[in-house]
Amino acid sequence: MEIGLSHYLILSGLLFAIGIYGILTRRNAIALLMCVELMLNAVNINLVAINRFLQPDWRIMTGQIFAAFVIVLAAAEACVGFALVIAIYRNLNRINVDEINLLKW
Amino acid sequence: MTFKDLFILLLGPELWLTFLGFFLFTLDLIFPRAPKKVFGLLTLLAFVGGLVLVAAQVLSPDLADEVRQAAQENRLGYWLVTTFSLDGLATFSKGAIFIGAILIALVTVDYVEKNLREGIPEFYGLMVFSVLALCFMVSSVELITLFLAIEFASISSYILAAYLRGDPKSSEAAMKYFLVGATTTAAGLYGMSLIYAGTGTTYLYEMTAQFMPQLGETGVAFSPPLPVLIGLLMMLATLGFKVAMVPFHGWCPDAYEGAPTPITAFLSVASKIAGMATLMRVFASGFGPLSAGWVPILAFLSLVTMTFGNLAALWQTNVKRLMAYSSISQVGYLLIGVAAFSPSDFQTLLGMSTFQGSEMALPGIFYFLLGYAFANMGAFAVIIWVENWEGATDRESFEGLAQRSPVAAALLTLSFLSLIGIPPLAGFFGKFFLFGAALSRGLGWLAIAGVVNSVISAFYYLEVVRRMYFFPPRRPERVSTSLMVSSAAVLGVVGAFAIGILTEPAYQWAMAAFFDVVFAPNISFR
Repeated sequence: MEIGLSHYLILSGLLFAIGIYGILTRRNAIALLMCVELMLNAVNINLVAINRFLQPDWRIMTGQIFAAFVIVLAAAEACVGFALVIAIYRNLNRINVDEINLLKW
Repeated sequence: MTFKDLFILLLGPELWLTFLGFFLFTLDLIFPRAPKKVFGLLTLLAFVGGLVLVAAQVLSPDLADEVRQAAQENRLGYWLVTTFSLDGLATFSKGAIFIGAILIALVTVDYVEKNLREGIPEFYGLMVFSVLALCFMVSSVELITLFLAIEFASISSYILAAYLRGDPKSSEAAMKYFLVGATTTAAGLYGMSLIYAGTGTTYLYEMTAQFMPQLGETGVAFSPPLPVLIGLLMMLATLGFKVAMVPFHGWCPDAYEGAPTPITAFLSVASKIAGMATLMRVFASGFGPLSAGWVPILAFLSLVTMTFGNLAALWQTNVKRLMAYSSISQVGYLLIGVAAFSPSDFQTLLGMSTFQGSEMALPGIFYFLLGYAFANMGAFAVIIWVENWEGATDRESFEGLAQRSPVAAALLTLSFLSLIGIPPLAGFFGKFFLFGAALSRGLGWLAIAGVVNSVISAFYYLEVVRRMYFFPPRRPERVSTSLMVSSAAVLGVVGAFAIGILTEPAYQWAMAAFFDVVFAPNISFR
């Protein structure tokens, strides 16, 4: 069996779904950050696969470049995210998002 | 003109902000003992200079022609022309962002002196950078550029929201803001990848060009390819997060309450203008031909957003939190304008058919945004005015304000009246244009819902006003403030009045900004 575009799209869809599921169920802030990373990696698989299979001209690499930017973004976002987790741990001594509830309506 | 001149003209405000942002970051290293007020004044200078540069771009037709010609002759570089646009939508929203940013800078200085102990230069530097990011956001016409700009703006805002380091509320606000933001961004990126799959390009106007012929053949009832429509709806998550649209509003009340108040003002004014302009660019301008697919969804979300915002605001006791729900409901009104879009507007935008007159909703959105920016900044300036004195923003702090500072009470009342939509203030005419557009597009139910919601909103705004005028003050002493904060409040209210009284010129300006496309070579498709 030849591996085609649909296999990659199914893989990325699964990865994205796992990420969403994790966001909805996990309560640890760091686990939530990891789920966001999963979602971003699903995007990367999508972009690279689409570029590889749907772009006839191999010199046009928009998808690959897009994916490179997404990787950079994921790093920047994780950096700020973990800094926020540390800040909230110092202030409240907990990182479970269920127990962080000073602000509510 | 050489490439360099054109480049500087095209990217003037952005280059200026980049320069001053880095200058603020390094200044502290070179002169650690510099008084902190200097940084605030430099920030103010950055925003005033940005406004001047935008005005220069708009008001100098020769230069604009020069840029347009250079773009046609391909002297500007394909990469720049296809990713960065300086059309009416971009310049008008940049102007509105800078006006908001100037007022925010005015109210920031005192607040920072009172509440921040360390990291003050970086605070101002990040403010400059987030405005820079918003400028890129409203100008970008390509998906990679657009998403980088959105993320640039978001990440700066996360840090700014967490800036009160000892205050757990601030950390929590930033954490919630970050989690919602990161998730919606990932969803939006997935949507972008689907759009890329469906169209094979990341250039917004090349996608438009692909869909235009099909629109011509089939008229309005054109069902878009499924991946593109799903991708578009997932992008709505990112943009909806930026403007705090229900169901992506969860961060908004918490972030508004916990963040430093000038940053709350920034999120509710500058960030919202940019988010709304980007939403219009992506949906109305870029994916206009697909409007049959997204108009019903946006109409429904508009109804839900304004109703939820107004109903939830009725129970708020903290004025900052009340402003959060109020701003959610204002987004609901703005979305009426987007939902009242039809492809004939789109053809008008491209100069393909003649202008239809008052049916156009999009200039109404601009008008509303400008009025909203002024009125909201007036309100936030007074809130900071009181907060700097009282150290709190709960409703009780505002009790008897009419005796303790009649000017502040009057300014807050006028700002609220504009937000409710009382003539002759700007809010009234903004709603008038938006509801009128909805009526002319067969969305009468949405216009009625908007009017009902305006009535509901009067309750919670006037409750604060009632407490200011008819309750005895908790403490007798006067609430005084610095010239900067009071002038920001006065400027906000005067702006709301001026735009309301000078409705016709202001609306014409919004219209002209929309049609006088200074620089949009990407609209001439290949």
